[in-house]
Amino acid sequence: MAEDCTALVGRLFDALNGRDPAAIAEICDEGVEFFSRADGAFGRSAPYSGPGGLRDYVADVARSWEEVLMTPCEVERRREVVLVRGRVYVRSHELGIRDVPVAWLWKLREGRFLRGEVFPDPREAEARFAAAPV
Amino acid sequence: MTAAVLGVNAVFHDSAAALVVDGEVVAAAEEERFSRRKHGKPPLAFSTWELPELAARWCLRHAGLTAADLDAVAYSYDPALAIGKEGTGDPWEELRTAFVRRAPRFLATALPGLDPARVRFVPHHVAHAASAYHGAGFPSSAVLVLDGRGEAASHLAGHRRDGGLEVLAAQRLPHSLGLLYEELTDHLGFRRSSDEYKVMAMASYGRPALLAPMRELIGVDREGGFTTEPVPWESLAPRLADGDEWTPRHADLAASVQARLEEVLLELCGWLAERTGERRLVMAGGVALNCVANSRIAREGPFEEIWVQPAAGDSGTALGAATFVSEQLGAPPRQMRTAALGREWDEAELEAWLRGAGVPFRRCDDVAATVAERLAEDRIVAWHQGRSEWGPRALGHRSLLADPRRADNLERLNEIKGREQFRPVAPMVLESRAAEVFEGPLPSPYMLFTHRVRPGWEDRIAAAVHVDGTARIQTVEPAAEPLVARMLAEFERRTGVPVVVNTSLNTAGRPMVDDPRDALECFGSAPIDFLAIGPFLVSRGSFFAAEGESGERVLSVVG
Repeated sequence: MAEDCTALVGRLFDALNGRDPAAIAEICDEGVEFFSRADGAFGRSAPYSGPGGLRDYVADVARSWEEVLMTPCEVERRREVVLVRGRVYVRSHELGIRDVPVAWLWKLREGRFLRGEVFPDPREAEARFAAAPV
Repeated sequence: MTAAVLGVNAVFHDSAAALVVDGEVVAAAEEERFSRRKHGKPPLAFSTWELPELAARWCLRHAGLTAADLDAVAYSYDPALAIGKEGTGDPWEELRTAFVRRAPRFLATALPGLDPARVRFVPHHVAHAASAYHGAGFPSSAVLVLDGRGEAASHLAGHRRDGGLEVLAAQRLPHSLGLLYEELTDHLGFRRSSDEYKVMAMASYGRPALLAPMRELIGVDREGGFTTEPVPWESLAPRLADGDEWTPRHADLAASVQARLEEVLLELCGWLAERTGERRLVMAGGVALNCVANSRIAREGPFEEIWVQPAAGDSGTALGAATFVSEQLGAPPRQMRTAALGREWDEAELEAWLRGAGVPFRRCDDVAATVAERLAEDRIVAWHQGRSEWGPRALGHRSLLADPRRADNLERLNEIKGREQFRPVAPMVLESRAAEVFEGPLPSPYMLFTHRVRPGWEDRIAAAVHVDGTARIQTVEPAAEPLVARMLAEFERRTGVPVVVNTSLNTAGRPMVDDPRDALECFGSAPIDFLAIGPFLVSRGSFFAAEGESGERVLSVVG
């Protein structure tokens, strides 16, 4: 099961890095919500919802960053909650270069991603994950 | 295994490879040490396709890996950031970029088994930066990179904290302190992108008489960057051809550019310290090999601690690209504790080399004590011990050693090496004794700062003191360098001086000696008295006098 989850996370991040809304939607629930925490860069605080929201997210990424590389390094699962520790490397002419450790918390429903949130401070994600039901 | 990442620098010059496994730098070497071509290749667009194949293969062999085992290859230049010829002034810029884009396939050909999809491009100055902040191992620091050029910039000012990097400023081309210094190098008759250290040495002989025009031409902005306008070099001092005699005017020009460089660096550091609030600075990029400027930053700048990556030139980007990607893959790199990351040979292998070469030699019970004794007798010793150094400095592994007490040993070493007489040689000193002899930032294990020699010591180590009263020292700590430390201690026991002259083991224009054959060739072609290679000692007298009247060579090992 853990391997399946790691593979699923790998597919998700490949799709996100490839800026491929169809590939992202394929492994996400219809009611997916994604909290990018990139409010400053994207000028948006609301989550991206549903397949349309995922397309908006990809468009916002493309508008703000010439390159975004999200690298998942460690994956942990507690029932339907998945903690992903990794890094984000972003580059744009306007905003420069950043390479930072981050974490993501994803919630699954029937093997698809239902809710995702980015945590610039990985410790916050770890604390939330620790509180998730075993 | 968490991650095995091979770093590659191949774009401009100083091509190199470095291997990081599970966050540990297990091997790093410049291609020139294998190919015997100084700097690996010329920094021309035409040569961009050339890869550090020999260095890369050795790194993998050393770790017992194949190319198929690599999780990533990190290439220290990102073609997505490249600009055209209008931005760089190089009419062949697009060719360079095209070659880089093809690098994954070139690499897969050079390293059979490598999946080209595993090649990641790392921005050139980010690779420089990573080499410094990972090597230093500080929890947080300001980061300053300055060189000739990267993809579109010549500088990076950044902040390393919380395990990440934020780039705060990047000076775009054509403004470049490194390229300006290279132009001066060329104008003074030296080889650009190679001999900048000669200009730095020459600057000590001059006065900054041309500082005013340099201040007009080289400016600092308020956003962490700078400007460099075209310099009318010919109007400041006549151009020199290779081998021409230089005049005080040329030395003044060198001193003026050096002084302005230092002023600009101090201003950039001031901006960076204010912006980051950090008290530690890490540096890389070719400009960070300017040990005179580094020392001024240490002396007059806002930072309490400065760490410079020992292979600060472009070769270091192989290391930084590898550590950067290693961190991205979840294997945070560990602090750099040594620059001895190159090849080595064990005792049996060295003996086989010597027997194969047909030279008489003897095994020493204690090579450190034997060499110290020879040095105290004013002999010159080639010292080939352990793993070769990463970076341009000889740090007691591929060194030419001499007694510092005799001033004429400077001239003697420069003659042996066939290089200019204005060039200084450097001292190595026991770390525990360094503060007694030298001022300035200590410890200094990588020879990246200059230090004023304390009163009373100038005459005692006359050969190692530059014309301006400074020396570019290497401090030796016994735990890190036990053999060199013992040699220094033995030399002190015999002479009362804890300092030995140390210059790189090579002759002018050639890469540093790396393998035993290089050592024997260098020893055979230059008037060096002894070669200490592993535990073995080869003496010049027996090397050439061993052939008896019968024509038989003495091949025996004499105990």
